[in-house]
Parts: sequence; structure tokens; C-alpha cells
Amino acid sequence: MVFKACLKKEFLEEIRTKKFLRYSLFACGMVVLALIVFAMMSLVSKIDIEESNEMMGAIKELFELTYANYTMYFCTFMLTYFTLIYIVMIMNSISKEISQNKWLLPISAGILPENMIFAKLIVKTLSLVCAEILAIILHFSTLLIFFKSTGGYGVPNVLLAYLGLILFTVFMSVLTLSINAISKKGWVSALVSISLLIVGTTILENIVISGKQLITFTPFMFYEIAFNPSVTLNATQWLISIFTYLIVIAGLVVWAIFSNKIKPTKNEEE
Amino acid sequence: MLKIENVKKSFGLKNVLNGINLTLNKGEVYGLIGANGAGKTTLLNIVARVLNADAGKIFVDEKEIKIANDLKGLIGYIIDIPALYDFLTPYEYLEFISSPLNLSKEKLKEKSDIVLKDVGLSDCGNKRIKTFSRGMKQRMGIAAGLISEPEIILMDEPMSALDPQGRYEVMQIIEKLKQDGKTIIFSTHILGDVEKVCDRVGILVNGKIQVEGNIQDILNKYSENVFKVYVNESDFEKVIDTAKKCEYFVSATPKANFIEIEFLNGGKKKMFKNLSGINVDINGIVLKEQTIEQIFMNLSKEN
Repeated sequence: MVFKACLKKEFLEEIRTKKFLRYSLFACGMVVLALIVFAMMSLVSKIDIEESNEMMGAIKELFELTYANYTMYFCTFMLTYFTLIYIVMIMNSISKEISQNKWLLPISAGILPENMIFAKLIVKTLSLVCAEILAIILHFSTLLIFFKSTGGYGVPNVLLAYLGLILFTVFMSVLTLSINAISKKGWVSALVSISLLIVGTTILENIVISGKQLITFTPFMFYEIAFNPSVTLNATQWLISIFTYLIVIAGLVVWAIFSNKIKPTKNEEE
Repeated sequence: MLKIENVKKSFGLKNVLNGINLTLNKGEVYGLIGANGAGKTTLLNIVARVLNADAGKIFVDEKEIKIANDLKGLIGYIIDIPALYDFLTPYEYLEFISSPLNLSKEKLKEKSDIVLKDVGLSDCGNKRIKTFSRGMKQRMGIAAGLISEPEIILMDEPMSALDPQGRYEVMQIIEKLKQDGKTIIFSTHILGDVEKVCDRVGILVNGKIQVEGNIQDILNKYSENVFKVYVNESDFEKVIDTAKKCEYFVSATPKANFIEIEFLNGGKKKMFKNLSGINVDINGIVLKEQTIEQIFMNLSKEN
């Protein structure tokens, strides 16, 4: 009953404070951005390029109207710009409520902080995922309408990229919100999440073990899949990365909840 | 009804509460007086189990309360500036806040209607809280504290942020709660409010309740220590000399047509005897009346 009430409160907050609308606009904005880039760069493909001009030839190839290119640009924008935007938007979600004393009345009424944190983690993450799904639907529709050539990508590759995007968003959302609940500081959660997004993924991509990138053994594998859905992964990579993904998410959630648990007072004689 | 036993709390090196002991009987309104930063809010937060004490115990009806969840409707908490989720309507907020009580929809609606009527918000049940004025938000905070029909109500400066009209409305609500037999701890630094509604007060200074008791008893006790002796100006010196000979003498301050003589506790009779036996025309001896405010100020200065 209490958890259900917390979930309802969070859903109403996402809708009524227009947070979900803003996430959706930003996410769909990434599709528009990808389309604008293509519209501008498609002019390049109309330029009559001499065969000897290799650089221009490469640029032309990069902006060919294919599933592969369009999906790649969309995913890149989503993984970088949209991720940065939502990290900034949610980095204070829990600490702000605490500092504004909004938890005072609910806690004194018997609503446990762990219920409020868990509900917030679920609803915020769901809200971001739904916004992302809207952008994905928009992307897929425009893909089918405007793009004819697959460019080596079949629909399964595109769907895999979408899956990578969604699972990476779940990871980053849980990470940002959990760090915020643990540290009670917005800048800490933003710093950790943005550092992992920019520096962490780059480092992991560049470490190669037995011919395999280290990133494909970590929770960031879904980031890699979204960037490059044609990457080939063996069963071990899948197992280890999914296992670490689930363990890290569960660990963060438990840590966030327990760091806010109100413990009974220890008495002097105890 | 409510027993606070040796509650201690410090923030870093600062001791905010140094062993608070307090017992409240059913239906009693207790005024907790203290300057800003005296620890009133900290004490109430600990009683509401929003904050952990470093030491001490809280009992409600003989049962020890260890975490907020143990309270579930036993205590209602009303704070000075309630931070509400203003995207919700009063009905939705009350539904959220009362979720630990597991009320049926019908019961919840019935209770919400009653508390909203009590606080004068029955016409605004479906409006978003963000459209409310400060006074309305304060009343909404009171409704949230009362939805569980608690027997004990903690009020942390419930009127400090309100204009005279808002203060009057909240005072009416408190008086109604008092009539309903609720046990109330009412913290404030506005002492006029205390004298209006409280049966008993405690003055919190330096993390301890320094003075406690019935308001009239406190006033009598502290008023007894100062006489106003009305004499002609030419006799001032004689009177002061006589007063100084009394073992309970503290100070003598000449004023326009009287002398204010302060003496130690228990010296009233002796001092009165000495002064009345003096060979001067005394126009009158009266005990100087003190207000709770003056007593509080003196205690704060002493500490």
C-alpha cells in the first residue's frame, strides 16, 4: 500500500511537472538532430566527386542515406547528448527533496525512506525509458520512410541498437539516482555519471584482452552495442556483461536504500 | 501518554540536546519555548522519529518508539513551513501521507473531508497545492498531520510564517484540538501564543529544559523575586540601605517614584518584613509582574 502510494506520487510528479514531456522532447530532438545532419550532409552526396579525391569520397560514404548511418548518428546523439541532458535533469532528484524537507511529513507519518527511494528509482528510470521509446518509434518510422538502403544493417541490427540504448539508459539512470541518494549531493552524482560516460567508456573501449575489448565484459557492453550493433560477441561476453550489469544495478539500488534507512537510536546503556 | 527520556543529540562538536526529560499527560498542551537554534525542532524531529537521537528513549503509551514506522498514526507532525508535493491536490497528498494506515477508499475520503473541513480547505480538495497561498499551505500541512487522527500532535512553530489572519485561523484550529482532548507539544519563540493555549511550558536553554511548569506558577515564582517599593525620593537611600542588610538582597534600582528591589528565591517574607519595619512613609509595596517573555529573556541571559 505504502509503496503503491509512493509509485503513484512519482508518476503524478513526472506527468504534472512536465518532466516526462521534457525527456520526450529532448529524446525526440535527437531524432530531429540526426535528420537535420543527414539533410545537410546529403548535399555532399550530390556533389560530383572526382575519383582521386579520397577524403571527399569517405565523407560521401559516411552520409549515405542508409539504415546503418542514420541509426549510428541517432544512437551517438542519444548516448552522448541525451544522456548528458538527463543526467543533469535527474542528478538532484532525491537530494533536493530531502534538503527541501519534503520527506519530513511522510517519514513522520510512517512512510519509510526506502519506499520513496525505490519508487523514485523505478518511476524516473521508466519515464526516461518511455521517452526513449518514443524517440525510437520516431526514429524507426523515419528510417522506414526516408531510407531505402540498409548499408549492411538489417532491421535486427537496428533493434539490437535500440535494446542497447534502452538498457544503457536504465543503467545510467539507476547509477545517477543511486549516487544521489547515497551522497545527497547533486554534483557528486553528476560527476560520477558523466565521468563514467565520457572517460570510463573510452578507457574500457581501448583496453583489449585476448582480442576482445574490455568494455564488452562490463555493464557498459550495452553502450557498445548501441554504438555498433554489428559487433560480434561470444557467449562468455554476453554472460559476464549481463551478470555484471544486473549485479551493479542491484548493488546500487540496495546501497541507495540502506544508506537512507532510519535506524533505531542506540541507547547509552546498550 | 508521551515520555521523553534523557534524549541527547549533537551535531559535530555542538551539543544541541543535553538530556531532555519530559512527560506529557493525555489532553495536555505543552509549550516548548526556546530561542532560534535552541534545539526545539531537533527535539520534535527526534520525537517524530525523523531524526535519530544519539541517546535516549521515546515512549508513547508505555511502548518504546524506535523508528518512524512504529508511530503509524500515533503522532501527527505539523511544521512551520510545510514542504508539500505541490503538484498533488490535497486529496492526493492526504492519500499519500495516510498510506501506512491502509485505509479503504471510502474511509480515506471520509477522513480527508473531515480534516479539510476542520482546516477550512473543503472547497479546495481538488485544486493543486501549488495554487495555494502560504496560509492555505500551512493549513494543508495541519490537515496532513491530523489525517491519522493522532492522539499526540507535535507543532513546530506552526504560526511563525503566517500573517495575523493566518495566525488567528491556526490558533482557532489549535484551540479546537485542545477541546478535543489531543495531547500537544507546541514549540514556538512567539511567547504570546504560549500564554494563550498552553497548560504547561518548558523553557529550553542550552539543550536543557531549564524551567518547567504551569504558566501561572512560573509567573508567580519568578515575579516573587522583585518588589516595587513606592516611597518619596528623599527616602530612597534609607530604603536601599535597609534592603541591603537583608541576607536575600540582590539589587536595588531607583526609578521615578519607586525602587525596584530584587532578592533571592525564598526571601520574600524576610525582605517584606525588613521593608515594612522601616521608619519611612511607604506608599505601597507591590510584587513586580513578569511576563513569560521576560523570564525567558532573563534565563537566556543567565545561560
